[in-house]
Amino acid sequence: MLNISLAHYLILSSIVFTIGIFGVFLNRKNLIIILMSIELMLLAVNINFIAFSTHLNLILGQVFALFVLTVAAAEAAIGLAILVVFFRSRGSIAVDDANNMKG
Amino acid sequence: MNSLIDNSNLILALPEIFLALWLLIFIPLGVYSGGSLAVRQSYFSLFAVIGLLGTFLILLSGGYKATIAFNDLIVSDKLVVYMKSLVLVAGILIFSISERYRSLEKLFIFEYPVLVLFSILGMLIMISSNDFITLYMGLELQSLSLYVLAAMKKDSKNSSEAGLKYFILGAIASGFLLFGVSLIFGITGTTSFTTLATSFSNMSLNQPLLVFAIIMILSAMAFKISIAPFHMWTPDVYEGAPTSITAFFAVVPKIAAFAVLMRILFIAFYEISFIWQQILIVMSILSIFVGAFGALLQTSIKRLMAYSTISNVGYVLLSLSLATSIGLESSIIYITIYTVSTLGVFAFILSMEKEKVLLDKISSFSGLSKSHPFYALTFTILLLSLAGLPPLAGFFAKFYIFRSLIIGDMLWVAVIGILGSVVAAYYYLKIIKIMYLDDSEELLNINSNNYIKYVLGFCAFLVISFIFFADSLIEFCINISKAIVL
Repeated sequence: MLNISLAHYLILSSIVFTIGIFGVFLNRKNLIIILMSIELMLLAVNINFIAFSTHLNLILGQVFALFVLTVAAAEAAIGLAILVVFFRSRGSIAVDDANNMKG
Repeated sequence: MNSLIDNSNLILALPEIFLALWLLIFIPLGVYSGGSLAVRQSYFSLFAVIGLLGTFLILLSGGYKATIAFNDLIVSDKLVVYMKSLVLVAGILIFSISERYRSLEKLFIFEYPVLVLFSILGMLIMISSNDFITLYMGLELQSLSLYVLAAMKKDSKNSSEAGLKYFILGAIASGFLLFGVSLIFGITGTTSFTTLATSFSNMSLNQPLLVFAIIMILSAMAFKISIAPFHMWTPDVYEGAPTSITAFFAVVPKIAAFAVLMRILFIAFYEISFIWQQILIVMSILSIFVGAFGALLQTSIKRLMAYSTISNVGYVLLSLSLATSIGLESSIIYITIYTVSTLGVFAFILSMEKEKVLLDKISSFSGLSKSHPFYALTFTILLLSLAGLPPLAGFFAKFYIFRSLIIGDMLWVAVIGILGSVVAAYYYLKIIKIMYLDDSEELLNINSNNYIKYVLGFCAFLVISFIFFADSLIEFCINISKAIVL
């Protein structure tokens, strides 16, 4: 049996976080995928906090994770609201359509 | 533990508590009040400005005493009080100059002042944070309100696109911040700035993980203040957002983010300044040049101001990268002067309306000196100050930055910075040339608004007369930075 140590949790969270970053930058089709990737990044951070919290035996990490969860919910709500406004003005939610202003 | 809800603790957080309660009254008031939109709008703006004024007065009555409260979560000292006053005063002024624009664009919805107040509440919490939890909550309250404000003009394609871009990049930045904070928490077992400072002084510091965590936190903060590798959102958001919101973006969140950055760098990470100094120097030089060269080809005044912001924050970060008390003091001076000049510039931009539409092209200001000499003159003074011409405030701002760099043995960085400001002077002077020398086909007709005129004149006056009260301001900034770094 393999023991699951702190390092495993950290590797997992780094992989999830990286998937989140790549999901934002490589995806050219759908804005909802970007919202999902952002959520992945925040959840990866939560894995980190909780793993450290049990490893160090400090409750602070779990408190922080709760705060992050709450804010992530608010962020998703606002993201979807902005997405709706964007959809109403463009009639599409493709990433490539967000090009009215050159960056 | 029973000292958590202590009277002295509550008094320290009184400005924030007052503003939060004010907002709780504001929301039902907005929902249930009757009357026409235009009438309600002026009441709501008055209500918001009174709330901000009340917060400001409570803040000033609290005094400067350096204290830490709520289990290390909140701090108050001179830097906090000064930065909060800057945020509140700039917020009130921007509110008063954006009235005219809001009635032009029919931005009558009461959510506008509510969201502005919420973002200011977030900034106050950010500035007084002494822990990454408080910092994160304040930062998110501020940014979530700002994302919505950027997308406020629902019928405009640019505005919704600006809101979307700002939201996506901002959310990534806060993800980076959190990842960095979680690593810091894992390494040291704490998230409080003051405890971090002591735990860094008691441990071995060659951990690659620590460097990685600091890079992540710094890049998130660099995003918030639009420092160069993370500046991509700035021009688009400035252009797409409603202009009164752009004015807000350019001034107020920058003050708050810099106040937080100062606290992180000079309290929490002061022991490990050798890690962040190099990173900050590279980022700030890059953003000075991106700002200077990016602005050269812009035709829109809002995009130009975006690049101008990028290069200006570069100078502030440059002097912070010294990690000395002189660097801190000159960056506080720079932020103060930058606030005044940018406020004036946006007062000018918000007053340039023609046939109920705000002018955005720089070329459309041609011949302004003949039709509206007051506006042309005050705008020229503000631009010359941003370019750094000697008797004006902007010169002293840059002078103190370069002086601190030379004292800190970074002569070559100072030379590069001066080169950047020479390039930047070109596009400021180009606007002045358009206003004074170019002929226009038709005369501009500007509906002058008294509020905006007063603010514009006031800012120009402050910029000219800086030389007379420079001593007391500089003395004050030295006191602030002495209280943070010895």
